[in-house]
Amino acid sequence: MLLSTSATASTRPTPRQTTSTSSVSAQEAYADSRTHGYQGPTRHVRLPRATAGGSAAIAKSEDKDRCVIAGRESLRILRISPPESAEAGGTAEHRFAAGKGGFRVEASRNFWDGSGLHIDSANTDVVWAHGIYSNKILTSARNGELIMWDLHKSGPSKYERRTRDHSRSIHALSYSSILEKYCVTGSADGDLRVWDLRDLSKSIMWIRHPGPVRAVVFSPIQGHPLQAISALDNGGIYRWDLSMGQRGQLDRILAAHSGPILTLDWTISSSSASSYRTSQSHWYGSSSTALGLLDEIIPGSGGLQGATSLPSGEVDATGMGWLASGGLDRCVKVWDLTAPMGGSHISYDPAYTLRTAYPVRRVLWRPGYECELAVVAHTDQGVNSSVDLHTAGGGQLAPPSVVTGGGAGFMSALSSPRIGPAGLSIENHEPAQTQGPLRNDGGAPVEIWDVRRGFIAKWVINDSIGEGGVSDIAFADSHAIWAQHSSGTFSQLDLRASCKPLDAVSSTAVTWDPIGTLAFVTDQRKRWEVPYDDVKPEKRQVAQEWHSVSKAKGDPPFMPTAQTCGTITLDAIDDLTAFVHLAQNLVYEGGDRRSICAHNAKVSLHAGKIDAAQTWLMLDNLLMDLVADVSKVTSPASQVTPNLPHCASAPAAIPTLQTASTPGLPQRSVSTDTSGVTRGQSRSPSIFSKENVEGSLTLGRHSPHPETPASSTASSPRKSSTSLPQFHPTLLSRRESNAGQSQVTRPRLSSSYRRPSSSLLSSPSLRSTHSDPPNDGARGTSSLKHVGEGALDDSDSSESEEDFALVVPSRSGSDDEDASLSRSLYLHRPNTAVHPSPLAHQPTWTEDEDDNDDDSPSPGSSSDSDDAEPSPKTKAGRMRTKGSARSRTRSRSSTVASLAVHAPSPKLVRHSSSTSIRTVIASIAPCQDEREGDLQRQETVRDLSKQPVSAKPSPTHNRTRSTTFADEVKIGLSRLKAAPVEESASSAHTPAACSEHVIEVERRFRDLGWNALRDALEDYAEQGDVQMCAHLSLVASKELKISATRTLRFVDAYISTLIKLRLHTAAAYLRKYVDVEEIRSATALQTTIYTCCSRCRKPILAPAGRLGPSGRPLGNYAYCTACKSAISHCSICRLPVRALAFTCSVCMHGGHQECYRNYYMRRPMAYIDSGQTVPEDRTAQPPNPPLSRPRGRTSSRSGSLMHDSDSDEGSIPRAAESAVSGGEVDRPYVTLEYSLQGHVCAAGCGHFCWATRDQA
Amino acid sequence: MMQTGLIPNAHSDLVTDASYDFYGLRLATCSLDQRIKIWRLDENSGTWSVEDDWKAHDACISKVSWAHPEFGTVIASGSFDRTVKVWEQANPGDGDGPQLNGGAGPSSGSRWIERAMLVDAKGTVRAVEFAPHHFGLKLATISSDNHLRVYECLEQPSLATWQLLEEVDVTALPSASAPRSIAPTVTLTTPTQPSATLDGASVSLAAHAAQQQSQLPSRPGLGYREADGGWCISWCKDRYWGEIIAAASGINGLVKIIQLSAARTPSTILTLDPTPAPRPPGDGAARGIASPGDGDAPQPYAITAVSWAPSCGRSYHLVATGGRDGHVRIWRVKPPTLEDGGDTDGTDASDTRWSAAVVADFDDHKSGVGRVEWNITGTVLSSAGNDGRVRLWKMTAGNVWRPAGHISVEQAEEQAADVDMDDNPV
Repeated sequence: MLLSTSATASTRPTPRQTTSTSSVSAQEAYADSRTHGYQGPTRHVRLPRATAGGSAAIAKSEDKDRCVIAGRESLRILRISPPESAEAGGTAEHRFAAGKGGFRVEASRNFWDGSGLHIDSANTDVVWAHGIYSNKILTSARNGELIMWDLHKSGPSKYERRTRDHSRSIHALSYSSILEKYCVTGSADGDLRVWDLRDLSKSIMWIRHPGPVRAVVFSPIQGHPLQAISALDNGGIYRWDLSMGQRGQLDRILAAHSGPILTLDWTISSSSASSYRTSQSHWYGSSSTALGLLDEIIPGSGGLQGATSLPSGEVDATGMGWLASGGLDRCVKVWDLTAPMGGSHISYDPAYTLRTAYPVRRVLWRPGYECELAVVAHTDQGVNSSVDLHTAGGGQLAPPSVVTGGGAGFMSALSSPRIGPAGLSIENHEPAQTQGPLRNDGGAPVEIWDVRRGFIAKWVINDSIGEGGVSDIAFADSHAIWAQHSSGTFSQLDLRASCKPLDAVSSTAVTWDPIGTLAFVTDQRKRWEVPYDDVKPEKRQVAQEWHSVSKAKGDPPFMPTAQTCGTITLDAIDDLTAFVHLAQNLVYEGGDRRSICAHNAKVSLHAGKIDAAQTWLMLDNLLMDLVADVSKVTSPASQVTPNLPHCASAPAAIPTLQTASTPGLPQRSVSTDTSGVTRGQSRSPSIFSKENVEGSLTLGRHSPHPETPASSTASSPRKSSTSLPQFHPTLLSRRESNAGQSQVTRPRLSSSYRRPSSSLLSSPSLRSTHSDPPNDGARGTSSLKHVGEGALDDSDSSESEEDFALVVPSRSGSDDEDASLSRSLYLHRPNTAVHPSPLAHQPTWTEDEDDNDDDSPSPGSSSDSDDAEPSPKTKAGRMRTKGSARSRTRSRSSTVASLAVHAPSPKLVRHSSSTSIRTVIASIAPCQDEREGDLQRQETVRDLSKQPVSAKPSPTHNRTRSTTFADEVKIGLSRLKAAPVEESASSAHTPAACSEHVIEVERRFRDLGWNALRDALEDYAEQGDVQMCAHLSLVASKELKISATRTLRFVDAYISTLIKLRLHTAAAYLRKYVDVEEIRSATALQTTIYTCCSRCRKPILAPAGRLGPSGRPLGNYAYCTACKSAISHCSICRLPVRALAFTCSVCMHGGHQECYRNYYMRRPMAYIDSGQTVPEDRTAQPPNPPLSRPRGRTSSRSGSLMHDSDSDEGSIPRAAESAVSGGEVDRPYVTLEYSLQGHVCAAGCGHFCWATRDQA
Repeated sequence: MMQTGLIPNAHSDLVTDASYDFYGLRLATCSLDQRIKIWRLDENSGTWSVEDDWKAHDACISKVSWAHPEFGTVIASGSFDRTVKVWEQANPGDGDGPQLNGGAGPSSGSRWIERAMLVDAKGTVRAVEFAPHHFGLKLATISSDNHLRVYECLEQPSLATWQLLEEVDVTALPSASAPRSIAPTVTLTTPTQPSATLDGASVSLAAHAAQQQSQLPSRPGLGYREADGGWCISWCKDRYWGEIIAAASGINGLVKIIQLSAARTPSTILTLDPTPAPRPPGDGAARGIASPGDGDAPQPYAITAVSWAPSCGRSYHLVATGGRDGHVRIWRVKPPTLEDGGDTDGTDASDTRWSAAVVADFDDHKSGVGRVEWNITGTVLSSAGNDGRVRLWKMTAGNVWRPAGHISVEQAEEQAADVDMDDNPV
């Protein structure tokens, strides 16, 4: 007894040996358990062909150096020795192998040979007895025999005897290391038999189970040695008091597993062990009495025993330890038997469940590590016939798995991809069973699990794979495992070579949704998180003192705490609202390209995308025909020439005069009137200047006047400006805002300072402030022009440019929309301005005029019209002209300074006007630049002073845009400076030459413009603005040199974005008209027209090729030759429908399109209860056009995004804003409510045949 | 301005992947706990609620991927149990489909039906990704046996039959013989793992088991001994160059760009090698061999994440990689000019090659990078690392990539980490 006890204690050492007393911090206490224990060279050893292959069992001897391997027809004793204990080499009977670390495995000869046993007695399990029986080995056989071997037996065979009490295969054998003389067997015949080693002739007791017994384990509990737990094929677990035999059932868990249980392991918990130790002596007595009882009773009565046998009253608190079970259901379950006993039962719920990826063949508690289990996968041996060793007895589940396993093996062996599907189809029928067998490639590795982490192994011993799987293992000690592989190889595995499977698990993730919401999973792994909170054995004591918590069975399962899942909305598509708006309103076909551009510019402005608007305007300008201009230019040039000096200085002035004088033109007259008023005011301080400015304004208006024919002509042809008036409302709002900005941004003035011209620019704005807003707009444009012209006139192009630049910012500030528009228009100007020396400028004039005209008419006319109305908005337009083209390209980098400029400009106007005059003068003189610079600066100063007065504070700012302008301006200036100056100087004097020059220069500038636009496109592409890219490439792919493929890519990307955003109608619009076959075909290919009679279901046979004169079918398909009748009658007019019919998709009633159109047009739309439609959206459907598109989704997102976008209020009312403005965002996601309107089916089926969205 | 929503206790163990569906309406997450959950955002409350939840695999699920909606509501999941499963959401109405995952789902009735199980992998499946829908319903997987497998669904309505179109060992894959495939910065396919030869999976497994053992002492400080095998894949989102996949395998730190075509065996058209560019092509191989023992050679590491940005019409592609060396790299991959590229500048013969250059290399994470992902326009890169942060990267003026903020675990809120974005010279 004493002996046995000590043996038990040694085989399952309690973890709490304490050696070190040094104080250790909590962190230091932790260590990778791979660094624990033995630290020498690797203990890995591999001995091939320890058995013939197939499944085999291992049993460890008491001395821990040896083990016995029982293969199917083999029985060997293996001895594993460390390097130092080297012995003589192997003989014929002793094979050995040495590992890299010097460890050796020696194998005895096969005792099976010569034993006289047959294959019928093939081994299924083995135990090595302890104590006085340590020379005895018991094996169980497939035919139900229990065979004893005696190692001390002399002679070739160690076989001693065999007994057959079981009628079928013995599946499991368990030996009581406490009692030493008992073992139990579990058999396929459902019996559990208890054997006494002293007399193997007959089992001393048997217990019947309702099904085959798969696993059995003898109690390791010192206090209750006469208990055993058995597990059945049907997943049930039973606990028996062996002293009571069949009536001694203590526990029964019927469905512990959902499949056969293959293995059990029972351990004492450390707590119970420790507490047990204290009461050890006490329990010896008791256990001996129990033994005595058994001894007395069992032999005689076959297991009948009174209830007195167990001292149940003396139950200690340590309980019965822990039971682990593993089965084919890919689970390892850990049962808590520690509940203070006294007849209490095992909980039906396992304390832990480990979900392995494979059926479990073997589980084993790891000695020395409280919570750890070694788990061996049940890998079928594939084709190997040895499968039936384990399954012959009766796993009804086995056969299918074997079959498919074989199939899978075949597949993988061939590794032919084509066979895959066939194999798959087989497996699909039995997904549960096939998976194990499928991995017969290298076998699954032995894994060490921590019970607290139920989904992933703590360690994986990779060395254990590659031999066809492991059939049995035993722990050599805490850090080494003996494993018997199905290939027949025996190996000692060093657990230090294990690896963390957790490291292969990615615990982070990010994913984007189409609107830029980022869903993420982040994890900050702690090094010593739960499964790895190992404490070095030497430090365990200390660690416990430091933090009382030490891991133990019974701890709650691990839950990840460091990991976070969440979503965050970033505005990746910077402004979803704008995107949606643009997607729904941008056009790329219909009408001429310039009108498309104008429209798109307008739309872009509405959406608050100034950049885009500028680009469109610039494109618009670039698309202008220059041919007409040239002719015009020449003529005006001559006229102008006399004025040249003036022109240079104040070309605008002349026109202004004219304008003032000739209000005759009705259109312009309006403008002039307003302008006149303003002028009057403005003039007073500086007549000329204002006039000039205004004149420039008027230029547009006045251009028609005889004096400046060129301008007039130019103006008339291009009336892109017409679009402008529409903007006014928005413009107004923006202006104000801008003004506010300008004030705010004053500091930027400094930037404006740099460019004296800025003051000029400012002047127009000033006027605008003074005058009616429309006038301002007109003036602004005019002034701008003047400036530009003046600059042009001024000897240095650079200055002129500068002026422009200045102008640009100011205007932009005033009204973004106009500014952008006008800028685009002006783009040409700056160029022109630059080139022409005096001569040139007239031609440039023409250009300018053209521009002006455009501008002027647009701003002026619009403004005029507007003027009549309360909203004068056109002011802003001019400044952009030059800068805009360039600015767009670089708009992003724009500097803040420009903003400042805007603000001051309004106040300065008058001064500026004066300054403009001066500048003109200056231009005459060679020194102009300097002067101008001075003057301008002064002006700017003034501007500053005046700003507060003029500026109207508006909360919203369009800084980005303005800034962009400034940059653009700079850029533009720099470019312009270089080339044109020379020309201007040289070409100045001969008109003819100058016209050519002008043309040449124009061309150049146009190229510049295109280049800028191309750059802009590339920029957009870089930024991922597929919307812009797609539309640009559709409108002007040739000019922009966008290849067809690239266009396709743009459009493709855009469409896919649209679809992701569920803007299906926008996508459909693109698909419909895009001139790219691949995209159009999507619609064509997937549209199906059924040509069968709805009545008789027979195909309609129409004579082929009978098309009407118009090329359309004549209605042959409207008549079914089988039914001899028309296929459909219009449900309204009851006449047959011979052309395309409109049909309700539900009731199939329908009729002529015309009838239905008439019917529907006269009926009001009915509101649809959106409750129905919303859920539909959720099921992800392939695009279904109009209904699903608008839905809450996009709208809600847009709403959410809205508050950060500083977009000037669109015409669209936004629910979100109110909430945001309220200051409290209580609902993180704001949803815009849309209501659907529709027409009910005319036939009354209730279906809404037409539906559209309406914003509530 | 930032809206955040957290999903507390999404799974009972680590979440391994999350993926938005095509429209961004639903979120699929998979976890170590062998379950897949489908979440839907309640837009009113901003909370995520589980729509479906079922046990999908017998081991950790490594990745989920949504198919394009034109194929139905379909997801594929790859798992450490060496299988890939294809799931389809059953319409509420049809109870027809055979429930292959019988009983696996909760009693609530899983509406997701297992349509197929692909069992060819001989190692844990680490990544699955559906091909861009232009190519049909195809699925690429990579597993720790180094094999890239591409399947195609043969019967789309049933989703049951998947044909294994390609099965290539990424590590051993030779580059194409055609000269066009060798670009200036390309290293020839590098036999980086001397022991992992091509004689079949089991051998290579055994070999690398042995290798691991032998390498144990020689890989100091590298906590990742399970870093071998295939790691990640990413499809080229565009269809114009054919079916192209970027795949990373092993611990060599290389990403191979593999072209698939029906007519030929897959070939490597480009290898992204982050080692200094001037290396001659053959040198990469030498490095791969020498590294384990070499003191000053770069530590071997695995590329654990690769993501191919939607090109959106750009003239180049962007491929982001994240590795266990803690680096996030952005590659600018220049594709050959398309044949019909026509008028621009496609006449140059040199344009028939793929070439690539690193345009950004960040090691801000200071720890392994688990995932990199682009937004849908390919302008913002997000990377998630083991430092518990999601970092964002954005291109600024002058093609300079810069940090654009990060999301930290604790607060899960964006910090304005924008670093001097404006001061770039134009």
